[in-house]
Amino acid sequence: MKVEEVRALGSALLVSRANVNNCSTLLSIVSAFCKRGAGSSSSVECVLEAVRCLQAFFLPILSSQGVLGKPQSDGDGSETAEAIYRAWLKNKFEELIELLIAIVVGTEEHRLENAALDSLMELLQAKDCRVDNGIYFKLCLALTRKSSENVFDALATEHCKDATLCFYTVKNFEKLVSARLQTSQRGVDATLSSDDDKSVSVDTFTRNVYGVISRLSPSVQEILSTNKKITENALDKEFTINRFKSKVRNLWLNFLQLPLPLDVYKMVLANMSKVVFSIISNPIRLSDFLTKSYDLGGVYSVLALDSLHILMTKYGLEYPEFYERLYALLDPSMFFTKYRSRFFELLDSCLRSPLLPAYLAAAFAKKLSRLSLHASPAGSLVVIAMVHNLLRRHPSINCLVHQSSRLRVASKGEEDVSDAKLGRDPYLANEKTSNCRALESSLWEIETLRRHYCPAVSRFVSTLEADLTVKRKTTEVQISDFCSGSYSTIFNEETKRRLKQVPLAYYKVVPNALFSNNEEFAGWSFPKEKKLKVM
Amino acid sequence: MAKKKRPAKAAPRPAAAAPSLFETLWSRRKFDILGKKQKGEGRRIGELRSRGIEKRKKTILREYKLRHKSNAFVDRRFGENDEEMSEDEKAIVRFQRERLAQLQRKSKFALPDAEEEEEEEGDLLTHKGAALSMLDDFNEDVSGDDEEELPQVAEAQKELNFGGGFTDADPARKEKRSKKEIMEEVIAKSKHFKAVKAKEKEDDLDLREKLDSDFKVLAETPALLSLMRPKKINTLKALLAKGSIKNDKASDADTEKEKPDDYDKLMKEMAFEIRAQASERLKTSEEIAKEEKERLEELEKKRIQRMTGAQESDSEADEDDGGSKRKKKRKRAEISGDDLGENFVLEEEYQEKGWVDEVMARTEAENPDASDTDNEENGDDDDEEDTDFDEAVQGEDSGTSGSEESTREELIEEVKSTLRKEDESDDKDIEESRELPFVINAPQTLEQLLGLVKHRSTEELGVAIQRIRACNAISLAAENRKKMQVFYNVLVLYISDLAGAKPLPLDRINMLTKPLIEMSLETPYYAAACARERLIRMQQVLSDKLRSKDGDESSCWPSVRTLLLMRLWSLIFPGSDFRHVVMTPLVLLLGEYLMRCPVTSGRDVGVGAFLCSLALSIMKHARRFFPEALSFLLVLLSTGLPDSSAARKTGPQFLRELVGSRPWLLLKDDNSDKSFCDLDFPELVAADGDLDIFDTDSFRCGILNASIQTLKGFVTIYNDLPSSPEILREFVPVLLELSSSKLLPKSLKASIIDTLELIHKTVEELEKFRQPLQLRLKKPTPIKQFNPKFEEDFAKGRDYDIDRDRAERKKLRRQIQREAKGAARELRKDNQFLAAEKLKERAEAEQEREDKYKKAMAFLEEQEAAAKSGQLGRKKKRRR
Repeated sequence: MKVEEVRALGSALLVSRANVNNCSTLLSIVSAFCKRGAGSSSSVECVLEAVRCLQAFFLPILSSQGVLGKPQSDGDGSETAEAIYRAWLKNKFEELIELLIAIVVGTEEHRLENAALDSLMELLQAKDCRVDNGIYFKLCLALTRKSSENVFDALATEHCKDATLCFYTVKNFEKLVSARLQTSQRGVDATLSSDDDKSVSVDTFTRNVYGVISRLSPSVQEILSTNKKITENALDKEFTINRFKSKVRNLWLNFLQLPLPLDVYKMVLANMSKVVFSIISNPIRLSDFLTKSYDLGGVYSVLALDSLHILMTKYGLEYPEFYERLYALLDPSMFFTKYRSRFFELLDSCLRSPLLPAYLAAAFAKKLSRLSLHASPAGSLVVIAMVHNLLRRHPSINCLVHQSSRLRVASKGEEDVSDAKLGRDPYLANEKTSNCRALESSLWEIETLRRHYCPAVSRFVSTLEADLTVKRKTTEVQISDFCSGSYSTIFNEETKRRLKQVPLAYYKVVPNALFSNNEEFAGWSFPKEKKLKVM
Repeated sequence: MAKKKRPAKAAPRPAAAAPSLFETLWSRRKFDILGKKQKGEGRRIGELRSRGIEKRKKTILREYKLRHKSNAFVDRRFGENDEEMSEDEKAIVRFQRERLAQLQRKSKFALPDAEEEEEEEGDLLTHKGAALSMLDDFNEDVSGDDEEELPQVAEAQKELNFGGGFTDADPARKEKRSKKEIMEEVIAKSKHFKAVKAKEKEDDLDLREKLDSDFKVLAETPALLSLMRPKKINTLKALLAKGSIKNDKASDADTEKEKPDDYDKLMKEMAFEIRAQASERLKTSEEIAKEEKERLEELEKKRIQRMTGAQESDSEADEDDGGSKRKKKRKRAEISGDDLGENFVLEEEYQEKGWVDEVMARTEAENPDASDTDNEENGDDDDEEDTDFDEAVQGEDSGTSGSEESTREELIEEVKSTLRKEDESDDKDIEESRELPFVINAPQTLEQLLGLVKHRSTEELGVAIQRIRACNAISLAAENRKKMQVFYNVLVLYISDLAGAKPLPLDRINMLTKPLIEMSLETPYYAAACARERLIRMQQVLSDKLRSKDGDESSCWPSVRTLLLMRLWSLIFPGSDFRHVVMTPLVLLLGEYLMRCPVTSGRDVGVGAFLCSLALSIMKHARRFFPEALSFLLVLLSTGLPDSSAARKTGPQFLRELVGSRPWLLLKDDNSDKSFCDLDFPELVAADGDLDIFDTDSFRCGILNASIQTLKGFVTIYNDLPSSPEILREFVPVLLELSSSKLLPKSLKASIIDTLELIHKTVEELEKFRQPLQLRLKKPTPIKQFNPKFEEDFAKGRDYDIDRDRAERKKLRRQIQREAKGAARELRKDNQFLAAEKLKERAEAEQEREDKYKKAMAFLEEQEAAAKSGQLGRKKKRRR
């Protein structure tokens, strides 16, 4: 079928009621497309045109009469032609809605998706500008099953700017998520007995839900910030700001309780402080989730640290073992993770307080410098910067880099003083901060870095030589200047230097071969060619 | 104050600048030192003060007096404002101005008006306009010196005197000579002296002629001829003949200009003849290089002649060249033009006549110095040594040469462009090998070089490079620098080209190593730019691969080419520098390879182990800390253990994931009785991915051995590193467990135990002597001493502050202070002066008023008295 024909059908439909049967023809076009998918005979243009015509047909009917809502109201048994017609119309309308939802969820065609979503939204709000939530819920349900980023974007950025719609979105998703949560908590048997909406795996569900609700947060935030007016103007009685708030909160809290797939989990954690904190009225309620993820270790800890830090500093969260866990997080892998820059900044700000006990600060300093033995040059730079700041904030741990008397005093609890050698490092890397004896140690690692091959590292060590106990004369190092460094950044810095002078190696006898010296490259042999291949 | 002021008032202000003793300020000296200058010695305070007052009178006083006036009178008469002029002088100045104005108005040559002359000369009698009396006097004056005065001189004088004005005789008039008269006198005198000079010259000429004629007579006598060298006799005769002709003409040659005649030419020729026979000086390096080049060119010329059959007969010399000439000749014709660039030309006739000439013209080489072809081998050796020396010198020179620095950016661009070409370089089919030419222009592309050397033996390759370097030595011509730079790059390209070949032609690469190292000495900046650009590219490639490592199967580990180039650069550039333009990025790249590349195949293991040894060889000299290699080695060695063992878990976790994902080095079979051999570098590195050799125990043993050896090296160079105990202790469990394995060959086991012992020893040693850090150890402050500080060449008044900025600031501050003081003083003095003036004014007014009052009172008194006395008193008074 051609676009012109579809257009003709549509215009005929709109002109008079006589052509009302065109409605079903158009619907059949759309449904044919839906069933057969993108490969169907009817082109995308045809479907677009059909959807447009149908929308134009139903919109006035919906707004004028509210016909479709209650067909049973006028009948006392006697089925008039009008009533039959209405019932038929209602039937067709529902069919259209089903189809549109199918299009929104099912197709690959962005244009079609957007058009279907648009007309769906229009139809939803046709009656007195009120949202028909029954239909909308259906849409939301469909969205959780199968969806594309494009639809999320369109929904969140275009349609949910409207407060009412936003509210309904939140409400519906809250409902869905809580339902899901209940089933998952009920256990395996519930999942087995689930009806058809459980067919979707939790992974897909959460991924899709996260896709919508993470995009929703800017508009939610906007609504919350300008709440008063909207409350007054809202037609919907349901819509009060407190209700909205609680819905949002419940949505997120329930969502976070779901078993999230790892990538979603990471994303949630990474965006937590940006996305969630701003729209949840009492973010302290997230602390359970965050502490749980902080305990997971690895990347999750690093990501959770960000949000936890905010909770601790701004919302007064108390976390007893926080520093212990932070200490445990320190690992050579830290210098290579993607989130290292944020992590080191946070680490620095966590260790900012001058009220930290000396043993803790010393433990961190020692651990960091121990890590530098396995770190990249960029990592070593961060370590030196951190140690610098620690030494400056805690004058009491300056014994790590400077001990006035060279003989170390043996601690009280030490029995084996006699056979312990003076130069042995008493630091115990695997112990807790309180037992690691970092204060008795000395930062030989930093001294080692002075002989680092990278000139930047080697130079930077000398900043620790200044007397950092005098705060007036020294300034803290900005960790952010160093924490995003990598091999590439240092490499580029070195290669950008001007070619001022080029010293060359000096030989008494210029080597005749690449690998002439046998002492180098022990364990390797560089045999001569057996014979000359070509003459 | 009063004392000082007195002399100022007492002394009359001198019109001239004659220093008055009364006006000088001087301080009494206790000890008078000769030649010592003292401040304020020469100043004349009194005069300065009075000058100041005068100045104020002119400025402030005038302002003060005119303060209520709205208009002013300006006197524009000449000299009226100059108080130093007397009335007479003023008159003179006015008169001068008037005359000047007149002169400017009139034309230069107009005769003066009769009236004016009359005015000037008054009542004198004149003859031809000259005063009669003056004429006589003048003649008396001048003609006294010379009787034979030329008539023209006299005439000139007469002319000059025309118009008169000479008043020598008249002492009264002498003083009133006008400027015109003075000038005329000066001109006359100069003319006179010229005439005298001309006369003297004429006399000299006469004398010379006489001498010439005498000499001619003498020369014809046999006595002189016998004394002369036979060669010169002709010259002499020619000279004599000339002389005679000259004599004829001499009469009218007085005023003739001197031309460069034959005599002069001859004289110059003779001078040159002598100079040409000066002894030979020592040759400069350029000349030697040039000669060397010329010699090679000569050889080439001969060879071509032989090839074309011109000198078929003397074939003895051709022995060294080898090969049958016929064959060569045939092949010569087949060479295509683009194989060897501009060096080789197809047309026979062009070759015959033009080729060498062309080369010679290009290099401006002359004087071909023939030498025997039998010396070729020796000559080459010598040549090498010579050029080596040259290069050393040249290398130092070029380090400071500005031209190279200025073009550095271009260099980098150039390198980049050639890098781009590198990928596109494709091999063309080149003809069979043939005789290596003696003169080889530096190949400017890889294709050219390949065409030259591809089918030649390694030895020939070395010789070819040697010849290219000799022919295009930078000391020969300035443009050779550029050529050699391109050639350098071509050689590096060739290495990377060779690195792609299988099996790896290590011999050829080795052959290139030495020339490249030496050539880097010549053009260090170019070499560095070249290396750096390549390093940047390698790093980019690595980052790209790391970023897309999921999709890309190819290994992140460096290719053979990269490995070989890295090794080459580590030979060319020193690894011990603190910061080096090439080595620092290189080591960083090395570290990145070791830390970030996932080991996915046996080759990666091998390359990793090799990179560790390379790192060791670079770090060895400066004993720098290179954590990447140690971490890598730790994890690599731990892969020799079964997964179950605890020591498998050593090392940083991320590295374990990258490197230790599989037990790469875990031996499968019992090898305790077998021996193993060193790893074969070319075979191992050039292989790609998973080959069978990587799955053998001998490979694993080899890697273990190499790693252990490298570790040993690191332990030795880090035996004084403060953190060595912590670093090395991690190796202990791994090594212990490895050594306890029963599958290991005995020798390997022994070396592991060896290494373990070394580690133990190092750790113990360090722990015994390690002391807590004392970073903040201050230098002991020296006791304050009171002996004076002496400056060499102390100059008084100079600020010896080391901080020049501070000194400068101090100086400026002092200046401001001084100026401010001066300004305040001036203002104070102004005020004093004004106050004095006001006082004076007031006093005058008072005086006037008093006078008036007195006058009035006197009148009144008189009246009163008269009234009282009845007019009696007046009479009385008058009478009195």
